Amino acid sequence: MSLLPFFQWWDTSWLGEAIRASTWAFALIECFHLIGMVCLLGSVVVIDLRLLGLGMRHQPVARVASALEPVTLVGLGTMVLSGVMLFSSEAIKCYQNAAFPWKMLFLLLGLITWFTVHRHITRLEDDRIGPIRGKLLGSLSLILWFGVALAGRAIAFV
Amino acid sequence: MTLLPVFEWIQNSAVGTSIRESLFVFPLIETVHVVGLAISVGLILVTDLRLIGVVLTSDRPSDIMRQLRAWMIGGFVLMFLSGGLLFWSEAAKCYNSTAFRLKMIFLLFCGLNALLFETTLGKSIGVWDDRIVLPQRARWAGWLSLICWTGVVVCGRWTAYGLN
Repeated sequence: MSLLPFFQWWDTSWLGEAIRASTWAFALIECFHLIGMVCLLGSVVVIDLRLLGLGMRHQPVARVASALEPVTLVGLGTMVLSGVMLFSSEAIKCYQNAAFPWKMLFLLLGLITWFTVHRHITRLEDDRIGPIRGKLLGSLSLILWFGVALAGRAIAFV
Repeated sequence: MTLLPVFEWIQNSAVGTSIRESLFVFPLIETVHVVGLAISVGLILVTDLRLIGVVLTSDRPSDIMRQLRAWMIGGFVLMFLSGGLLFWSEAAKCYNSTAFRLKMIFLLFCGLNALLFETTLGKSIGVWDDRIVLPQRARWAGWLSLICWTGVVVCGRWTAYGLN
C-alpha cells in the first residue's frame, strides 16, 4: 500500500493551494515555524542540560521542567500548526524527499519520549531520578529533537 | 560612493566563491547556523521570560543567567561564525537585501540592549533580583531582547528567500 494518495490529498487541499498561490505566505509561515523551534528547543535544551548536570544545577529538575513545560508546549503547538501548513503546500515534494521520512521518524520518537518517559521522570525528585538515568534521558531527548531539526533542515537540500 | 564594490569583492573572493559553489559546505554551514540559533536564542528566550516574570519566578535571574551563560555564548559563537561564512559567500546579495539590512539593525539593537543591561542594571543585579516584581527597566530589557531577536530571526529567514 502506498501513502501517495494521502500526500496527494494534502497537496491539492485548499490550504496547500492557498499557500502556494501567495508569494510570501510560505516564508511567513516558516518564520512562525522557526520561532516555535526556538521555544521548543530552547526549553528542551535547558531541561536536558539540567538532566545531564551541565546547567541549572542549583535548581531541582522538577522545578526547571515544570516551569518550562508551557514554553515547550507553546513551541510544539506552533511548530505542528505551521508545519502542517508548510507540508500541505509541498506534500508531493515531501513524498519524494529522502530527508522527510527521517524527520517524521525523529518527530514521532521525540513526541513519544517527551509525553511518556521525559514528562514522567522530570517530575520526580532529584534523588529518585538518579544521575545515570538523568544523563541517558537528557542525551536521548537532545538527540531526538535535534534530529528533527537537522532532518528538517535537510529537506530543503536533498 | 557606495560600499557595493567592497561587498562584491568579498562575495567573489576565493573563499566566498568556493562556499557558494560547493555542494555540501553551504548546507552544512546553514545547518550549524540553525543549531546555533536554537541554542543561543532558545536560552536567551528563557532568560528573557525570567526577566519579564513568566518562568522560574522563584529563582534569581542572576543565578539563571550565570548557569546558562556559557551555553548561550557557545551557541552565539556558532551562529556568528557560520553567519559570517554565509555572508562571505553572498555578500553582494546581502547588500541589496532590505531584509538583511533590517536584520543587522535588529542585531545591533540586541547587542546594545545587552551591553546597556550589563553595564548598568546588571552590575547591581544581586541587589534587586530577589524581588518578586523586578524593576521596570529589567522587564523592559527582557521585552526588548525578545522583540529584537524575533526581528533577527524573521529578517534572517526573509533574507534567505531573497524577499524584500
